[in-house]
Amino acid sequence: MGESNRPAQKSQPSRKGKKAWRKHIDLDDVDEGLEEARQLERTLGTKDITSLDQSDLFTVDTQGDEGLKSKKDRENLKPLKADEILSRRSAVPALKAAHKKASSDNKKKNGKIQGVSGKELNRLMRVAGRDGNKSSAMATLESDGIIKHNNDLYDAWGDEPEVDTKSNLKSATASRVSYSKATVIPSTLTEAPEAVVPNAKAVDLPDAGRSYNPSIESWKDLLERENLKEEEREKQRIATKEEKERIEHLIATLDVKEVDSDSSEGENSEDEETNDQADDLVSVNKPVKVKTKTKTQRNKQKRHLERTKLQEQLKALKQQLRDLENLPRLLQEEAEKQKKREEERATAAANSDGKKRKKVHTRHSIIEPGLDIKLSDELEDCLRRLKPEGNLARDRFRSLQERGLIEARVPVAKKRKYTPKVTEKWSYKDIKL
Amino acid sequence: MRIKKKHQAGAAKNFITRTQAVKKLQVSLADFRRLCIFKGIYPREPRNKKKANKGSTKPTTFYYTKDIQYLLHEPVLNKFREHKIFARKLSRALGRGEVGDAKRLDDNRPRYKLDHIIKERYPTFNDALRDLDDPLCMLFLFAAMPATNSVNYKVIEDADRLCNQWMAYVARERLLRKVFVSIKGVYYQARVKGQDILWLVPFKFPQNIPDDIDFRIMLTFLEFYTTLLQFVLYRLYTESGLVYPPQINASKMKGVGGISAYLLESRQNGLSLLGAKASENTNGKATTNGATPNLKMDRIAQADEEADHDGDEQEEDENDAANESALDTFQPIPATETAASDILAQPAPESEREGQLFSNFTFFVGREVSLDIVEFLIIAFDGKVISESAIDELIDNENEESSNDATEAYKKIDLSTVTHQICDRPTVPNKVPGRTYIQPQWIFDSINKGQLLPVANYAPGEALPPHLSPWGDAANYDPEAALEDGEGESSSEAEEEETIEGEALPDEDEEEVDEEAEEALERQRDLEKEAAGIKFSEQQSSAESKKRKKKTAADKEQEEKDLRKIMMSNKQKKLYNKMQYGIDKKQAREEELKKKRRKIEATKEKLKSS
Repeated sequence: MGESNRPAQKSQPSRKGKKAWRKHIDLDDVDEGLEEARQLERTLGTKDITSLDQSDLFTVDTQGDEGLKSKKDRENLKPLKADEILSRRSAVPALKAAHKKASSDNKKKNGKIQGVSGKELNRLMRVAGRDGNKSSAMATLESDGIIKHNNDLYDAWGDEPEVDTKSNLKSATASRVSYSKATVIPSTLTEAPEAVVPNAKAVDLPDAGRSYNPSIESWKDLLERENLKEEEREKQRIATKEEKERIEHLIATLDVKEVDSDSSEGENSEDEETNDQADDLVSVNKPVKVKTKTKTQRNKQKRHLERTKLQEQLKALKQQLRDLENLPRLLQEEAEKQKKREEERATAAANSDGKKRKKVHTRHSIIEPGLDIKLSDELEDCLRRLKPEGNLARDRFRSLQERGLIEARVPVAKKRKYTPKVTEKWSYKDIKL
Repeated sequence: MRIKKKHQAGAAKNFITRTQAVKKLQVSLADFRRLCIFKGIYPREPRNKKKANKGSTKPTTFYYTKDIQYLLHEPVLNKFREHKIFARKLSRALGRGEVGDAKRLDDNRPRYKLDHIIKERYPTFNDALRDLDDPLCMLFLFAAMPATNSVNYKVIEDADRLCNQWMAYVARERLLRKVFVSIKGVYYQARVKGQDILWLVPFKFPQNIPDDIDFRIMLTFLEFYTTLLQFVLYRLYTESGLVYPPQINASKMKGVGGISAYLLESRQNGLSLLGAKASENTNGKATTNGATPNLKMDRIAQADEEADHDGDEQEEDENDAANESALDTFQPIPATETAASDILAQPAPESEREGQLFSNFTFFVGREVSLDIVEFLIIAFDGKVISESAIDELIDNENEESSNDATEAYKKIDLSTVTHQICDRPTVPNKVPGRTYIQPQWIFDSINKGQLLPVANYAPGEALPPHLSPWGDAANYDPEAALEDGEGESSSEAEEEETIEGEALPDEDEEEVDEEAEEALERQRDLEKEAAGIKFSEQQSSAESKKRKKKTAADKEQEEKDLRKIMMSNKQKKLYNKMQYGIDKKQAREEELKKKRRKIEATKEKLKSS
């Protein structure tokens, strides 16, 4: 009789020779089959199941399990005291939180909450300023529209019975109204706004060259003028760009020099040390620095300041002496410069056609006007094919700024108040399986 | 002497920074901005910023302290504060889920009105009219805008309605003076109560919404301007005896819309004097959706005629009155030895036929022409409009049983009266005899010229003459007028003007005749002199002396001017110089144009002779 589940034997891949063939032969699968057959013989009396009837193989169990009955009885046992106490409840309903109570009342009837449709609710949210994107005032403007007077229009400039302002003032102060009528209108109120572009009008008279079907002459004239302006702008752009590059270059070169001068022996080693330390630091945040200066540092600074002051004075004195020596030449130069300046001013005044921009001390300049011209290949002589140029909304906004009705500003995105601080979570210590 | 403290007087007291102002008024910055726009309080620039801001040179916005102090009395400010409280209550109710309460709160929300501000900022009606350019531009701009996140559709609808009411009024009262179609939009100029009002209407194309403009500010301006225009319109309508707001013809509104959908009713009899009577043709016949409207229209038409009669009588009376009280003439102060009297500009009488340019015409407007521009212009100059697009609408709105046939629709409209057809295509396939075919520019140029131009240049497919600006730099130069020098004859010959049948231009013809007659006279005089034995040299000398006389006169004038200039204050002198500069510039331009003209004439002459 063979054994199944014997301890594993050494595998023997090579079977050279007779002995090798007799030893260590794996017979597990054969043994398993034989064992199965024997089991069948033991239980059913035959090795071949197919020869048996179905009723011999399967039976239907119609009776319950006797053993389980006692388990069922256990439920009728007396419950624990603790359970009893816990399960005891008052007949009085529990208190509800205010907001939960309301929400339970919100039975939706044909899509309405308390008789208010979802759309209306959204609008209310916006009016209340809960939308986040829009201000409350704008939301109310949207819901009301811009027409404020529908049925109560009247002749605003018609004859009105004169009202005694003084008595009116008294009655106003006495009533519940928290404002009083002003008796004197300040003279400053009637002052015209300070136009950024002088003589700016609400609607500028259109240029003849901007006709949809312009005469060649006026169109060329316009093109030339716009071209001049554009050239000027381009020149300025290039100049600023060059200046920026120059500064950047200077910064880069100066940095190198400073590093060179700093690299004295003593400091060098210290630097390296700190660098090593910096590498070891794990924190993402900026290192905390002690900002208080020591007494020696202060003294050193003071001395340095004094020395530089003295040097400056000396320099100025020397310059003065030098200037005195060649005073006549300097005077002549100054006169020439003055002349030049005046000439420039005159030409500028002539060029700008009296439309010199006022220097306003705001950080921002008014928005740039668009370049509204048609190029020669875009000119169409019929109205049907006309493609409009420019943006009127932008023009109108610019006009408001030009006339000084509003200040020039750039919309600011809300910034976060504090820099976010990065901290390490300790959750990595949690055991993971 | 007491020691003066710094920043206690002068600029430091006169100016207030924006932050200070907001703190003083206890409103949010947004509300402060809106209030300033409503009240017309603008940012100011102190002469010395450092003095105004307590030594700081930080870029800040300043206001007059007095202005801000005055704002404290503003009822709207109070309303803003109330609104803040309301918003808090509403937010709280919504947070607690009390939606019904929130709704009730919203219904009783504090609302502000701006009528008192309008009365304050524009003490007289003329002030309001003078400042109407900006409101009109703004409203027309918003009326043509697409509804987006930043601009609600309701705002656009309201703006559109007001714009149409304005146009309907201008058209009915024949107030339009000039039009200029530019690449940006259409500029219109109307004269209302003696005030020239210029506004710009964008083309009906989808506009881009730029992201660098603040719509909150624009909408605040729009809010104020809407109220202003409403009151102005109310006044204008009532003064013309019309009901404001005008009724809207719903069926027309559903169709092509435009100003013809607005029915302007007179106050006294409550009859519908159709918004610009001229459009009755389209209105009357296009809205034949059933029997009842038809009847109604007939009745209206009858009433219209009656009203017309009444109106005529009234007008006659008015005319008589006007003739009696003829226009004032300004009398200058009589000249003295030191100062010659000024020549004052006299008020010109408005020509009788102003705004009646197209009174005998009916225009058929093709569907490729932008109707909103052309319709307004034609109605404003007393013409009648039948638009192809309106007929198209009619076909589409027809019941399905009655077949969407174009001929059916065309039958309902009387096209026999059409005199002109406006089309903007290179060719017109089948022309109807008896109609004059023109491109839309003919209307613009005719209006600007104040007379009907020859149509030959404006025929479809023809290369159009340039559309010149009515406010152009040509100054007083009139390209059509004959030159006063010897070339006059040739120029009038060169301009071969094709006159349309029945529309001869009598004025010009007369002028030509006059010139010819004058020249003949001159020749006659020469001959007479020859017969009398006066030598040519003598004659010349007399001419020279005349010239000298003229010169001396001119010198005298100049001297007087110089004398008067001495008397002027510095400020006046500057102003005078500025004015003179403008005048000189204009004259130079005129001279330049004339020179050019002469050159052209000369070359033409040469070509002819060769």
